[in-house]
Amino acid sequence: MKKLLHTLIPLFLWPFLLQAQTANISAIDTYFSHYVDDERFSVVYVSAKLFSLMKNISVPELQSDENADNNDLIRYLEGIEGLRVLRTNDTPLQFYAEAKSKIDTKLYEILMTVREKAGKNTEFLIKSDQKTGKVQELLLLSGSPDEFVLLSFIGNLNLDDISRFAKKISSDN
Amino acid sequence: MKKEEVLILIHKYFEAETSLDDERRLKGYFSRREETAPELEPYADLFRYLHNGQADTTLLQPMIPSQRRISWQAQTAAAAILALLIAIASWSYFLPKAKNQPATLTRIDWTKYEAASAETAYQVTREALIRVAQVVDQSEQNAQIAAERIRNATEMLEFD
Repeated sequence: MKKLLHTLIPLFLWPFLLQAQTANISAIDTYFSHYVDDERFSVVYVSAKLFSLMKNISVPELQSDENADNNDLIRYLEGIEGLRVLRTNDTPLQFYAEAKSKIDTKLYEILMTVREKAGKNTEFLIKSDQKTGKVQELLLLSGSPDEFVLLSFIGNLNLDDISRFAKKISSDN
Repeated sequence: MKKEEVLILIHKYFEAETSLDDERRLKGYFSRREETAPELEPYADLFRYLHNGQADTTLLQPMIPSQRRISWQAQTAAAAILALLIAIASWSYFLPKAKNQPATLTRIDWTKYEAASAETAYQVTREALIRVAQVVDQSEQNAQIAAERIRNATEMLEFD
């Protein structure tokens, strides 16, 4: 009986363990792993550890004694579990079209699509936890005649905050 | 019939030289068990079998098709299972392959691509956030333009 339980319990728990393991897997791991090995792409990864170290660097935006906004930004950055960036200048529009066709829209909800006159297209997608509704991944696909960019933020993300901090950093630029 | 005479007839039988009358005599001899000499007992089964004149059908039984009737419940269940299997097969065959189905998940060693320092990581994050801000901005502008167009169109309609 004990042996049976030892076999059955892991079997029942396996799907949950698998789900927990896949929660931190980005769209890049799922759909675009072949781009990572492609020499035409430049790839950068920012780990959770690097995000936690950012408060120590001397950048005006991150000086916690400057104002409350900076403190918020530091806290927010610390909550990000990973950022992956893939970029290429090689046949960018083709890659953009291919990337769009690969993403499962049942898992990734299109938040916004922006089409600009210069032929630049951007799609903003989010993946949410089906139970809690929390945003787990923010995915940005951008294709123009000059470049194709794939951005993936992983973590417990709040869209209002990310938009606010994005605007703050952009205005400080 | 004497034993010697029976033996001669048995030899003739195996040489296929017996007449129908000889064979009848052999069968008659072996059918009377009490008369059968013990030395001839090994041949007894054969000639008694021939005497009975019946083929042993027990060996053929498995080859005779069964006449059992299959109940209507079993037939319905079999038909339902078959229909279900056909439905599943057709569904998986005709359903267009989901274009978005991911290929097998490949583990990527992201540490190979990790930013070299917190400063570089911040620059990358900063650029990424600026990109996000641009999209949000552009989207808001587009929404404002669209709202304005709708407002103008509504005003024109009201003016008309």
